[in-house]
Order: sequence, then C-alpha cells, then structure tokens
Amino acid sequence: MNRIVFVFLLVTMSALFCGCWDRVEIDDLELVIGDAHDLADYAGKTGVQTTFQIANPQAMVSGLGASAGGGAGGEGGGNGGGTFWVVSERGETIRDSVSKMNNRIPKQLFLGHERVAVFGEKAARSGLTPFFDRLTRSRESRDTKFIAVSKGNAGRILELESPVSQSTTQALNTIFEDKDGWEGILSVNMADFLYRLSTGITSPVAPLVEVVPQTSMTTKEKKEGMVNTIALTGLAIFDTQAKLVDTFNERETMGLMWVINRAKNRVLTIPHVAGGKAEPISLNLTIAKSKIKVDIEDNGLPVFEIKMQIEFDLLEHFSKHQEVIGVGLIADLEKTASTQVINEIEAVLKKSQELGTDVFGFGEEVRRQQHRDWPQYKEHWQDIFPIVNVAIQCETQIHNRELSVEPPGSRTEGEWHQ
Amino acid sequence: MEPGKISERQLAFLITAMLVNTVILLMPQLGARAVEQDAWLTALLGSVWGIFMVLVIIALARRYPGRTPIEYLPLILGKPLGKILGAIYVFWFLSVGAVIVFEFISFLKITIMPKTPLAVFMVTIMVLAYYALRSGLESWARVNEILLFVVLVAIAAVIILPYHNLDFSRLLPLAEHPPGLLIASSMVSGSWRGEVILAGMLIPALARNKHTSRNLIIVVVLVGLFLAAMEISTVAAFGGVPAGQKEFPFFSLARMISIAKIFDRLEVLIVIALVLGTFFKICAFLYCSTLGTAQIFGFKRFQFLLLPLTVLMIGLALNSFKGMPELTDFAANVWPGYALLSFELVIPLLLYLIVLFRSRQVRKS
Repeated sequence: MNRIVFVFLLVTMSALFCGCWDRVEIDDLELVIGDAHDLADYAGKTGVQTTFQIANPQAMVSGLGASAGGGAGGEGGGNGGGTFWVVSERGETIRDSVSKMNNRIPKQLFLGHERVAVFGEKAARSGLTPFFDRLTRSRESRDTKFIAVSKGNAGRILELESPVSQSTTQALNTIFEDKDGWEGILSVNMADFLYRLSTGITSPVAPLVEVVPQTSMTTKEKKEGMVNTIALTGLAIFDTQAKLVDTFNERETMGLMWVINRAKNRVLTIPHVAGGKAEPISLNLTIAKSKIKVDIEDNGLPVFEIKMQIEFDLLEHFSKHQEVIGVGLIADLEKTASTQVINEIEAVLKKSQELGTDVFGFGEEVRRQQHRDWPQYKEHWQDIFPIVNVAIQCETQIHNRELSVEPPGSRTEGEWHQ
Repeated sequence: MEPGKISERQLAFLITAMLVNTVILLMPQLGARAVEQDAWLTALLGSVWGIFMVLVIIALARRYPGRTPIEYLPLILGKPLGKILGAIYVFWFLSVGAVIVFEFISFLKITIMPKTPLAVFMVTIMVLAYYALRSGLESWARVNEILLFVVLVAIAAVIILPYHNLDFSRLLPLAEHPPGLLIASSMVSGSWRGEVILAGMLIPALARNKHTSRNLIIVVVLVGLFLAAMEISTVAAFGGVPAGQKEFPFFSLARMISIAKIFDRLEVLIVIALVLGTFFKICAFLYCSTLGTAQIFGFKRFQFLLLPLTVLMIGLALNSFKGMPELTDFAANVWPGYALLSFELVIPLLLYLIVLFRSRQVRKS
C-alpha cells in the first residue's frame, strides 16, 4: 500500500511540478540581445525611448552574418531575413515603453539574454540614475551586463548592421568580454558603474561607442552601400550624479587604465633616435601594476604618489637604420617608455582635474589610507581634487625581444658586428 | 514522548542546516544597509550572541536532564505561569516557522516563478515537512546528515565562483562604523544565530549528551565564519551601498557567476541550497511547536497534533505579511526584539538566574 502511494505521488508530482505556471517554451520567446535607451518627447513631456535588438535565432545560429541576410527591420520591427530585427517605442518609463511593444510583437519579450545596454548622449547628459532602476530591479537582467554610452542617439547603434559579427550588440559584447584592458578598451559592467556611483566621490565611467565609416568592406558591400559600422572611441566621464560631463579620447583612456590597474594588453610605440633620426619601436605589454600612496602635506592637502611597475617585450623595430637589440639599447628604451607612460597619465590627470571628476578613485584612497582625516575632506572633495598634487613614478622593464636578435638585412656576409 | 534517538553529530548538523539557511536571503541586505562594508563584522559578532545562548540553554538543560524547556518551565516558575510561558514559547516556534515559510515561498515567487500561486510552493514544502515529521525525528535528522553537505557546497560555490568580479578593496576601510552601531546591528544576525535555542527541545532526544555544548559552540562559530565569507563576497562584488540596495544580494551574486562562458546562470545553486535547507528548518520549528503543544497539555503522543499545527503554520504564513517590504521591515526592526532580546536570550537568562537563586536558597536552608 505504502509503496503504491509513494509511486503515485512520485509520478503525479514530477508530472505537475515542472515549472508550474511559469513554464515557457523557448519557441514562444523573442530573445532581446541588446537594448538602447534615449530621452524622447512623449505626450508633451520628456519620456524615454527604448530600442531593442531582437535575435532572429535561425539566422543567428547559422552564423551567416548580417551581410548575407540584409535588411534588418527599422522602427516597429519586421522580420526580415537578417540575424536580428529592431523594435523601438516611447513611454513614460522604460517598462511603459516595453509594454507598448506587445501590441506589435507576437511572442513574449525575454530580456534574460541582453548583454549590452547603450545609453544615448542626451540621456547620459540628463543623468543615468533613473535608467538603472529597471535594469537592477528586473529579475531577468544581470549585474554583469555591460553598459556603453553612444555619441548621439543610442537607437542608431542598434539599428546598424555589423559587418564583423551577427549584430552590433553581439560585437560590443564580444569586445567587452574578450578585449577588456586591450588598448583603450575599458569594459564597465553595471556592478562597476553602480559601485562608483555609490561612493559619491569617484566618477563613474563608461565606454563610448560611435558610428564610424566602415573600413572592412568587400567590393560587393561597397556596391550595396553599407558604409557605417560602430567602434569604441574612448570613455564617457560622468559626475557623481551620473550625468555625462565630457569624454576621454583613446590616449586619455589608456592613461586612466594604467592608474586603475586595468591595462592588460597594449602596444606602446616609442621613438628611438638612431643615426640622427627618430624611428618607431613597438613594445608589447606583459604586466602592469600600479599603486597609489596617499600622504597628507603640511598645508593639509593630500598628496598622491602613483607608482607604476610595467614589463614589456619588444615587438617590432620599424627601421632602416639597423641595430642589434642589445642590453644597452634596451636600457635606453626603458627610459623612453617610462616617460611615455608618465606623459599619458599626466594628460588624463590634467583633463580630469580640469573637469573636476575623480575618475581614479583618489578620494577613496584617502578614505582607505588616511581614514582619520577623511571626514574633513569628504564634503569638499569636489573642490580639493582639482588642486591636489600627484607625483608619478614609472619603472619599466623590457624583458625579451621575441624571435629576432637583430633585424634582417642589417648586415651582410663577412661584416662583423662591432 | 519522543521515541526516536539522535546522535550528537546529527543534532549539530541539524542546527547547522537551520543556522545557515534563510539567513542567506535577508541578512546580506540588512547588514549592508546598516553598516555598509562592515557587514561581515556583524556576521562574526552575531556568533558571540549565539555562544551566550548556547551556554544558557545548555546550563538549563543540565539542571533538568531529560526534559525539554516546555517541561521544565512549570518546575521553575510554578505551574500556571510556567504553562502560560510554555504556550507563548510554542506560539513563538510556530510564528517564526511561519515567517520562514513565507520568506521561502516569496523568494521562489519573486526570483524564479512569478506567475505560480504561492499555494503551490506552500503545499509542496508543507506536505513534505508533514510527511517527514510523521516518519519521526530520527529519519529526517538522518536525511539532513546526507543533504547538509549539498547545501553547504552550493552556498560555498556561490561565495567562491564569482571570484573575477570580486574587488576586495571595496571592504576597506575596515570597521569604519562606530563599535556601538556594529554591536547594535549584530543583533539582527545574532537573532538568526539564536535559533540555536531550538537545540533545547532536541537535547532530551539525544542518545548521548556529552559534547553537546562544545559541538553547538563550534557550529555557531563556524556558521558565523561562513556567513561572514558570504558578506565579504557580496560586498566585494557590489560594494557596501549597492549590496544594501538589492532585495536578495546573495542571489544577485550567484547571477554574476560566469566562468569561461561555460558555467553561466548558476543561480540555481541558491535555490538548491534554499529548498533543501529550508525544508529542515521548517521541520525543526514544526517539530518543536508540535512537541511543545503536546507537553503543555500532557499528552502521551504528539503525532496527532501534527496535521492541525501544519495547517496553522500555513495559515499564519499566508496572513502575517503582504510581501517582501513588510517582511524586510519586520526582520530589520522587530526581529531582534522578538528573538534575541526576548525569547532567545533574555528569557532563558532570567530563567537560569531564577534557578541559580533558588538552588542557593535551598542550600542555605
């Protein structure tokens, strides 16, 4: 008897409790892969415009790329043969605008796969804080989601097709995931941004994405007239209220990445004077470490010391004047590289002090290292930051020279090296 | 009255399962909201309260071997007063059990299955608890011995796996908040740690009672370390303020796990830990309230009381709170007073003082 009851319970329970009321078939879902948020006029007031990039799973999985299908839908959506289509709506809140999309889209919108949120310039200038509520409250989106700020309208970024990936947000996501710390690429996910925002002293930053003319085109594409694509062009700088203040260019972004320990992969090209002519040498970053030390000066102001320790490998010597990459040359190069790094850091330091945005987290370093003195700076940090003194030290080491000892063609047979 | 016997290890495991669970839902939020990056210190300090409670409850149990608190209350306070206080204690077991049930089902509803009616979660977990309790203390204590391992591994995985998102400098400066505030907010986590007093009801069912106090103190301290690690991980991932702005920070932490693009979307780990652990927690509270009721009225058996009390717990759970805002408010403001400052520490301590005073008078006369 007991065994029969047990089997009966087991069968009925396993049949009944598979997802309960929330069971959803994947065929019934529209998978949103990226979203863009803009400010727009709505019913006479300032509302939001939400744009979704929605995957077309069949085309996306086959990996044909946007160029094969062509014709992604414009506003309002329309299922073309492309890898994705786009839908855009306006409303008072983000959820309000999303709910209006239901009038046009047959399947349920599913936001669990959105990887990148792009914010328009206008929205960023007015402050991003209200936009984050939907993103953190929703049980579908994650804090690891990447954010970016677009120059101009964010919806435009999503409407573009990408020649190098299935879609623009897919391309952005892959860049942010795999190339974080490369050159001037600084990926910022929601948790990072919101942490910086929550300190009230450190300025949040987000990568800047821009529509640029396309350079990777086949002849066929040139005929069809696909001329634009997207690229990361620097960093958007916010104030402590999450309002966009200004942007950093690529060089300034790289300067910032040295200081905040985010530089991972970098080709640094430095001039090397040989035979009376400056010739470029490229170095490849292997390890970069920075430390910020805080002291309090006699006049009561904090003074900072940034200590960089960087290791490079020599990557390329683009030169007519041939020369063995030896110990003496490397010592010279190390000095030049240090100067270059210090220059980059000074450039970004100057700009951020002019803007009054503490992107380095100097205020937090004071709070951590000079804990007792912090309360007296806390209220006035916006006024103190632009006038603090920062000393930069850089120690560079060049370890290896890859597979060549000296460049080919530098000497001929019988010519002994001096 | 309880025919089954459990070993000391089973008791320790059972208490561990109780102390580790449901705390992971609300405590990270409340701790981070009160003292931001120092939340993990309050988790550690909570263990100090826990140790006090273990000492008091064990000292009382030594005075009245083989009896549960419900049985020795009339011996300490006299029959009418003792029975009334016993009844209040039984209600406490029942109501805290109802809070746990509500917490559990709202978590599932908010995070995993928003469209499913609460009744479904309620019925599944309560039918299971009823079935387990009917099979006897011995059987579910043994099941816990097997499943506790799964619970702990799942929680530990969520603490460790988001390692590439953790920035430990977010925990600095250390102990920025004044000690008074730290101790005050440690009462919230101490109240959860104080659920260890349920051991008092289970001690008479022990086959051997030699290392119980040592075991329980070790359990309380280890659970404190475990929960401190949880707070450290949560705050390092989000920062002190954003962690306090989330409804279930630890769940959000689990959602951040993404290793090599393969191990993704592992929030199910939390659900595994929660479903398995909360089941034993509900069992323990339901068991104590049933056993207590039978002992107040002097019944020989308690099994027939199981069904009505299960139904009562469901009723209490469904009607105590409207939703998470009310529950969070309760946990932050009422819970320490309802638990640590009354039923968990202060009342047992007063009882022990009365016992001490009495025995001294007896010795004098």
